[in-house]
Amino acid sequence: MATAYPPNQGGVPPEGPAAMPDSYFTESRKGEVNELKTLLRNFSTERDPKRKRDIIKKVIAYMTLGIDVSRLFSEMMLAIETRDLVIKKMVYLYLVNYARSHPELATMCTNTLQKDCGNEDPMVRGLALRALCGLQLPGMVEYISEPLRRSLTDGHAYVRKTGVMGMLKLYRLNREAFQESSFVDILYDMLRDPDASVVSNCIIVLNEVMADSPNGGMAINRAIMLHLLNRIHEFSEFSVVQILDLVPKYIPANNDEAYQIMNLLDPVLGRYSPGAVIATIRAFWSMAEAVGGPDEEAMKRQIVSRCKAPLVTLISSCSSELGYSLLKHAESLIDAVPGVFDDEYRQFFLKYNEPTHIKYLKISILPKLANPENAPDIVAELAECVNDMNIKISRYSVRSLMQIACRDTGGPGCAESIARRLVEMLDLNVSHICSEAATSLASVIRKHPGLKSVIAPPLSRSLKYVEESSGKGSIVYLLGECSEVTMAPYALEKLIDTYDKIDDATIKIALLSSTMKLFCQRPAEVQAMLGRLLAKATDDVSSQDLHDRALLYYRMLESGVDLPVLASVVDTKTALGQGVNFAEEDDFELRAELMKEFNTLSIVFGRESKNFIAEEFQVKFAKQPKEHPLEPGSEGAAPSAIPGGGLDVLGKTSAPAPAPAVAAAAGSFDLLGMGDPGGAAPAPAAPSGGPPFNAAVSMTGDEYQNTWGAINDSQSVVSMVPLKKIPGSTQEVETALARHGIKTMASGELPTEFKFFLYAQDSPTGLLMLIQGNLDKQSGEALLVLTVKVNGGDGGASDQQKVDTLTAVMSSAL
Amino acid sequence: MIQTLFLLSPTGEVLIERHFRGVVTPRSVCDTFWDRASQSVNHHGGLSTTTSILLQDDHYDSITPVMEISSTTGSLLYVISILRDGLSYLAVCPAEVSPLLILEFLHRIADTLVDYFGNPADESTIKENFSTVYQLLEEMMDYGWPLTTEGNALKAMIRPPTVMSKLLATSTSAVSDELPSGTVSNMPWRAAGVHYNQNEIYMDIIEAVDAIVDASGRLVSVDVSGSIQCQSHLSGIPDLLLTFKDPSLIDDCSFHPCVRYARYEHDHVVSFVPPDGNFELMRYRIKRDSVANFTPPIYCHVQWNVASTNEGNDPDDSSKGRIVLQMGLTPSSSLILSASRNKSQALIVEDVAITIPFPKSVRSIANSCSASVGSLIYDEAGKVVQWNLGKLDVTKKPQLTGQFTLNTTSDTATTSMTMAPNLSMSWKIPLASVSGLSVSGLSVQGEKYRPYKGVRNITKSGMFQVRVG
Repeated sequence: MATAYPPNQGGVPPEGPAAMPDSYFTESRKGEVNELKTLLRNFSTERDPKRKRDIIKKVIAYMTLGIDVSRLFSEMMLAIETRDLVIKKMVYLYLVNYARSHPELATMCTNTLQKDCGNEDPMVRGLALRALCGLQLPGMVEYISEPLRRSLTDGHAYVRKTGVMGMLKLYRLNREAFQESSFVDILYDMLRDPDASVVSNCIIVLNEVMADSPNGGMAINRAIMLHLLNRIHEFSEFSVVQILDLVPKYIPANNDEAYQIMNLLDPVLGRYSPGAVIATIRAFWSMAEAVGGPDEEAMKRQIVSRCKAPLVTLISSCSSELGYSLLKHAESLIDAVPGVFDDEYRQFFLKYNEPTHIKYLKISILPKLANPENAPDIVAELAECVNDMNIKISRYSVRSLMQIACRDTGGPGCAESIARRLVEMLDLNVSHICSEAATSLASVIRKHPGLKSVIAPPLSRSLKYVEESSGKGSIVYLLGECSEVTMAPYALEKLIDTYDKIDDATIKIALLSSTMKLFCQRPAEVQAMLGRLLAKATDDVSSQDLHDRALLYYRMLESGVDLPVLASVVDTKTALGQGVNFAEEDDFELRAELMKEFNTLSIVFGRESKNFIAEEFQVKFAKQPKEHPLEPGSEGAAPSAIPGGGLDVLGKTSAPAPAPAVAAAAGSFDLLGMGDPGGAAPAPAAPSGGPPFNAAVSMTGDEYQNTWGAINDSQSVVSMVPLKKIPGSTQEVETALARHGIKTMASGELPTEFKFFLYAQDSPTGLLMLIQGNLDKQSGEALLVLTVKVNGGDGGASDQQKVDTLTAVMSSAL
Repeated sequence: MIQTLFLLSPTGEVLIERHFRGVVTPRSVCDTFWDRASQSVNHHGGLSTTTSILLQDDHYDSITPVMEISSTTGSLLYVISILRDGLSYLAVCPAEVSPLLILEFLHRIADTLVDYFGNPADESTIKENFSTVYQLLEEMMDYGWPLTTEGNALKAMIRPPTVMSKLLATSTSAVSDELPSGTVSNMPWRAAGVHYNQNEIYMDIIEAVDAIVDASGRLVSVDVSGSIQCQSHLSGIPDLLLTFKDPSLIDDCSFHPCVRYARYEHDHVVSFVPPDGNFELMRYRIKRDSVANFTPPIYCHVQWNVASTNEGNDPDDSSKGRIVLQMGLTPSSSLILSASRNKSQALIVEDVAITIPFPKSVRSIANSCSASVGSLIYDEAGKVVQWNLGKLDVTKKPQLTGQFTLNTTSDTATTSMTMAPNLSMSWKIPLASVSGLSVSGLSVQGEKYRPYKGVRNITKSGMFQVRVG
């Protein structure tokens, strides 16, 4: 639907500058609507085209402001009969806007619209069609269908692409009418349209219309996929994304095809279009997963290396909004394949006038890039950011420094130098930095217990001026860990003596456990203060945890437990082993899930889509086709264009190879085999005169199963037979096929689909053909999908020919 | 897909509202958006916001371009937004989408508006041309999906308002009389039947330097991004071939869709049929080693001192600050000058300007500074001083001195309150380049005429930042 300013919205006219030349917005007295009405009445007699336009323009201006001008409906409808395109456009806009509130009047003007759909001017035809479909009135279906059908064969691409979109509007308006008119088949046919934007509109419509099918969108097979990919250079940066999004759903027939697809996509990386580049990366990624096996990891690494340069170029040159999304995607890639982006670390340094969300993001990415070579630079840069005026940036920078130390990726000495910097920050006398540094040191010490000697000296001093409770708690924790600090017990004693002034439970708990730890190490010094602390804490009811802990310690001491036993209870054992990271850093499952949803909102939000998108709007994702349509041997269609080297397909030298053989094959291929059945099988067995299949053949169930199992799945051929309608029962299909010598081994009806297990014997050669057929009842199109295995076949072109014959026979039988 | 497109004015008022899928998105979404945008002081923090807002608050946060907003009906909507020329473009999406696709499309809409109505396409421009804006949206998007996005194809369908039509104010046909033939061609970016009496094409090879320089003049980070901007006025369907003297200087590049990518991969030449008018042919990054040797053409020495004056018990504690800036040309710049340049001519840096954002605690900056060259602009609210020096050559040694008073009410925050600001600098040097990339030839095929061709190099500052202290 077009501009639907809700009527009665009561928009306030803006106080525009008085000097505005076209002051449509400035005057909006209600009385003028009546004045307009009179003007419109005399519209047909008005001779000056300029004045005519101005009147209509004024109406639209009022509409934009939210003033209800629906009273002018009948007058406006009179104005639709005009040769002036501008007026026509504006009246259409008005019409679509108010059709809902005035359905009966809108119905009256459908005749004019229908007539305009046959106008000699393609622009008018397109516009009228769009308006007609845009009315969205339930009663209009019968008026829409015919012009819509005509538009699909229009000579002008503008009309065709409007028509394709019109089908989607019809589908939303009335699903039954849409399904009855078999528009889906027409849409699949139109994927071959010479105009790229018509094709991309077809994909959009098919994806939405078929969203409920098990595929979660348009059905794709090899022929469609290769046909589209071979034309990819024709598509604009917005429509190319439609094709790229199909690729992850497609299961390539074999590894070579996967490489070939990647070669076809490679030029897209050179476009200046972030959307297309990211979609290409996702397509590449899915191809790597399809190849699988031991090479998968190496391939993914290669993909990221290939995409790094274009990505960095885009990030450094595009607007901040795009930059943010790109950085989010880059972050996912860095997580998935660590190390590749390391040498570009300078691209992730903060710039002064960037928006803060980009700065935060960069700070969180930087630690992931640290390696022994660049760590000193990254650490120095982050340390610089700690002094930023923005407190959040400064806090995050401290945390990122801590992460580098904890990941220990910065090479020998790096963790220590970070610890020294953090210790320096403790003395900085800036509240948030001190506190954050203390918290970070507590994490660092868990990973690197050996750094205690570096950290220990300033602790008792800094306890005095760290103010935030998380930081203070951390210092208290550190004092407990570094029992060798001579002053440690005395620093804590001061805190114990002012126990009543502490109002944060985390500090109290840290104080309790640290005092206990020190007691285990240096009982003589600590005993007295521990007693005072326990007395206070057991009386403290502000925190359940604290209270219980204090009681536990108290009773253990009371029962006279040996010191070593006590120490083993008190010791928090929080140290991380070598090569172990904090759990938050190792959320591999989430990361793997997110990579599947690359190039969606999920990456930006860092959550899986099922966790935040309403179910009806989630994108269903099913890989297809289920069976590979091509066996490795029969690659007459897709041969040597693929470089033999395998992995170096991404290398630049082989990239431009356009796989000419495939282009030829796809060009002449009948997509989905839905053309007329005669054409689909150019050389059927007809010349031989006799029936193509031997009716006398029979097999047992075991034979069937063994034979099926003996033939490699990759040698099967997939084909499709369009049916006139979905059959009522399996019996119907079986009898029809039996007449042509195609026997049924078994069949069954499931709630969603029919399944057939068929076989036939090729008369000329006597070879057995085993056929499994699936008919999806829900997809709305009666399409029997066949998987055929030829027993003893050579796996080459002759098999394909047999299957073509079979398909032709079956489609004539059904 | 996009359910609704809103265009908000700089004050949050809805200028344009277009629902594409028969669902009316309540305007409350805009209100929620605007609330968040105005809380986060610098809005998106895009470059188009003024620095004064940026620095009003130490705790400012920008809003992310993608956000969740729950509508009045309780369902979640995803609002993807950009900020251009003060206008917020909001795309409201109900379902999973590719955020990059939508962001890119919003930018394309904004580009198209600029293309039609001139730069900037701001509030008054939109109000003035609202009917054309609606017509454009009608053609650019159908049922929530991008439809016709190429400027030339759009112009064939909807005629941009011309100066002529504005002057005469006679039948302002916003619609072309003839129909788009470009929509069916394989070159959607090129309109058919273009004719010029004088055929000419100009190319600017622009290299923008993003750099951070620390207090001692050392480069912390430097990055050079290049682009080639073209202005093409060529008749017919010219097929151009652009060759570089040394294409190996380019590290990585991305092209306008008109460029034949395979040809570039193969021969490192740029072969294309250009769109008509202004367009960006390519963007590129130059090789690391030529960036590594870069030395900034200008130096800027900064002295920043803050001394507490009255250590006493005066509740109105304050300290005096002093800033001294010295600028000049670096004696040996790494820039590679164009051959067309007059050798004897000294290097001149144009449009030099420095922005000094003072800490918020500075009491007043009005007339606090004095400069030996150029003019000073004070932004009292944002505590920003801008120093415009104009042209700078070797002979000049401009200097700026300033004195100011700082409020230091709480001593814990002392450090962050008196922390030295980071300056940003802008400059431009014509006929010079960082990489030395230059064109060795531009040939026209497919047309008989010999066009006038002009190519020049420009180096300018991108985000050029000077750290103080």
